[in-house]
Amino acid sequence: MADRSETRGGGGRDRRSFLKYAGAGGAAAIAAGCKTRDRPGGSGFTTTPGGSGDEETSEGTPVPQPLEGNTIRIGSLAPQPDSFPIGKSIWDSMQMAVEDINQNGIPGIGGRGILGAKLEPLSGNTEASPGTAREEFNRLVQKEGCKATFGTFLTQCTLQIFNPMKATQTVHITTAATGPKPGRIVHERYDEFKWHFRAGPINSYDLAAAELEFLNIYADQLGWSDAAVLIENIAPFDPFAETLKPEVGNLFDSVPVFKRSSSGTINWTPLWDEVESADVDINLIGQALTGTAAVKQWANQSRDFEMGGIHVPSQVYEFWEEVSGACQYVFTMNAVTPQTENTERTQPFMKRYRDRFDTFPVYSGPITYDAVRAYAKAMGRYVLDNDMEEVPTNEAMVEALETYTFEDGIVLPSIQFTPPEADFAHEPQWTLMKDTGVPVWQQWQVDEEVTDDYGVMHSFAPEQNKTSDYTYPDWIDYPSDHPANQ
Amino acid sequence: MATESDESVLGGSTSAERRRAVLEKLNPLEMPIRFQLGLLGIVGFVLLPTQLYPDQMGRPTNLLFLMMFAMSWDVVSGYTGQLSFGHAFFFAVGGYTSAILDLQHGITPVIGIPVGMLLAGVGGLLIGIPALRLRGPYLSLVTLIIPIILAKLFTLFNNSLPVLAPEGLGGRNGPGLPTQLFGIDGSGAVLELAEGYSGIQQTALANYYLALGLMLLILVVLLAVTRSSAGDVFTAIREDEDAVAAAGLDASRFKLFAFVLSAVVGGLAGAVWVHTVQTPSPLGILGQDDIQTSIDVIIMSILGGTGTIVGPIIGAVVFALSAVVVGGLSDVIIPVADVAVADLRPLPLLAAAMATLVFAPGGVLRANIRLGRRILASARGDEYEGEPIGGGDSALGQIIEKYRAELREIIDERR
Repeated sequence: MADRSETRGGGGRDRRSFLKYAGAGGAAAIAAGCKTRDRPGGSGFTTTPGGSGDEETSEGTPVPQPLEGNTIRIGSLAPQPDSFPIGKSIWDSMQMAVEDINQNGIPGIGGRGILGAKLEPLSGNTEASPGTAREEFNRLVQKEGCKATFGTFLTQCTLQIFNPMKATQTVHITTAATGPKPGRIVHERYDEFKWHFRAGPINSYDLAAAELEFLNIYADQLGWSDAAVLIENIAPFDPFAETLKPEVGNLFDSVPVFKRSSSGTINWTPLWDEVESADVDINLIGQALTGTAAVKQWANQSRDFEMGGIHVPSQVYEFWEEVSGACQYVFTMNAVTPQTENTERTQPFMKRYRDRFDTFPVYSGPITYDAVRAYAKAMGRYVLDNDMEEVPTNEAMVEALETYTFEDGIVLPSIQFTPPEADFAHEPQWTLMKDTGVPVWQQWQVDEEVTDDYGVMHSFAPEQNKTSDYTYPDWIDYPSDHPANQ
Repeated sequence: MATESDESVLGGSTSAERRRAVLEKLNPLEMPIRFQLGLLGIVGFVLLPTQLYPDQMGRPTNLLFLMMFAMSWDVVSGYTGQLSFGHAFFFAVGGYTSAILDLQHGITPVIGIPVGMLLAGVGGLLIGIPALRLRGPYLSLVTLIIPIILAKLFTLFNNSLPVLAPEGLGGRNGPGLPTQLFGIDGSGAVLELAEGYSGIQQTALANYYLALGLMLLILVVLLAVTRSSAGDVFTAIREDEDAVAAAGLDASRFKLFAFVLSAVVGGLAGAVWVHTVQTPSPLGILGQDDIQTSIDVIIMSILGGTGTIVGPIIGAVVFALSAVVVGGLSDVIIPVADVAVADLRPLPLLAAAMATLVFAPGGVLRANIRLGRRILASARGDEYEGEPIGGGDSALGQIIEKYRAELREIIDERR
């Protein structure tokens, strides 16, 4: 009995001690929690007391500097910003925008910085992975104190940062992904996700609408009466294909081929055989991952049809060199090209970019440049209109971005975001290609007046952004009455 | 007076003695070193957040989910030797089910998560039944194709899947943003925490500790199953399926049980994942090319040691650490190739997995246990008489041998 009672007592003590220590250890760990940042709340900027100094513009007009003494950090969320053209263009262009603002102030207002506040850019590498995008967003906002972020290439990456965006109440402006879902979610769950905006490109439904508009205006002029459609089977092209499919037949005498090509296609010969045997004039493509092999084989095999549509590799300046000029005659829609003058500011930007980085940006670059400057201008105008002396809250920045129109763009002359009640909210207002001038229709051409040792990314449509006429493949034998011979 | 046969395996005839024996076994100071190290690892995981900021908590939380996935793979492939190359299918079924129930049917994740888990179990049954008729290489092919078919279905039913998902499966971008289990005040999460930065901290902690708790629960359940007589049958199936049948046991039933158990575990983890730190999308859950997550899970298990349950946890840690280390070598350039080491990801990890396959097929866990035993034997002045550190009869070796045998049978039949 004694033994038993001792045993029971001892065992009870052991058990209680064990549970006590285990419980205490666990509770202590949880109570200790994780570490706290110096810059909590994701408010995103270092605040020092605002000054009231004035800065003079070049014309001598004093520009109020109520935000002087503040540094506002903004983050770039780009895939491989050191090497991948879309990511590199985002980060490079953000740096250029920040330098412009810090030196020359807000477009149209002047001074230095955003009414005295200095902008500081920080780079995040999403690696085109949703998980990494979330990590990098949290790092930029919580650790580095970024007030806003810009970029994201894949829509999955954009969506993955929606919840952190909501938690930290941080504005993010998308400048590379085209999926319509973010805009739809902002519309449906505005209070939760009003922090998301897209400065461009237009979403994939609008891209399809732009292609239909382009075909409606130009198909006859260019001599296209029969068409094939081959769209790569990847997510960004889903809405594009959905919109195109029921409509494209109305624009041609016949569309004998309408297919989603595999994103792993390497050998294009069977598909080119099919398109050629269908005797079409134009092969309309949507290609992102498979575009290089497709173009090489089309040109090397001198196929008897023209080709273009959305061809992502052709938007990259280095593509000409990569395929040894095989992309000549291929056309693609684009936001801007090294030749176009979307606005009076486009060419100066392109030249400066070329001088600094020894290449031209892809579409994500100019869009990011516009987005950063639009954000800065919205902040500046909000501060001036409300006679403020401190940096607006992120809530106020949402209101500012919804309210003001940015009229100093290099892609679109003016940027106005769609309202919350729009089906796709906080997206760039876009109506028609012929009204807005975008997208532009770029074709790789040889133009010795521009350069004699490299291809030129000319634009042949729409009229206001045209830099050259459309050119026809020289290996195709056109009838005498064809527009190619006019 | 108690006879020897009356005594429990824990060494006591009375409940008090049994309790005492259990407590002695649970006493960390009396445990073998490998268990002590395991406990130390758990304490490390419990205390890890104290060394991190909330913005750094995403990776460790994700790592815990990867551990759950790897364990779920190990119970079916590591134990019974039925190689599954597309295990992320189960994670996706669990995740998508719960997300769609929440987004399109208004069903709270508290109910949606168990339903997701059950549906993944049904998925396990649907794959498990044909698996009984398929031999190794064919089963592997089937499991390889299944997540790719699932990804195609996501696109095919992008806008609508009658009754089940009226607003569709969302294509490549996924069905949307499901309700979070934890969030800051006013976020609409199932459990709203504090507001502002405190809320962000608490959310990160809650997600982490939920994942840790779930991982430990799964670990305990799977250890209990695999260390029971059912686990012995699993292992016997891997070693010699004919011998299992000769012993009068229905191997098919056990194989099916392993598949369903594995699917349920994977589905549960997948369902919780989409309500904490992952957005449901093919890229997010299935990974690059709809197959990367499945491959990662296999690599983790190989690195740690297949057929151990604990091995995949260690493999996942090695996997994560190697990603951090290699990713940090962005300034180290390989001279001839002129490429930064960081840009070579995931090649170093794949090379490590290959090296493990060749030099330590038992995985890091077994190799270290043997190394530890050799060191202890050496310290005692004894000669180490166990299996060689890297070699020996490993589960992976048996799986490969089983696979080879089945391939040989198929080839012989063709002849």
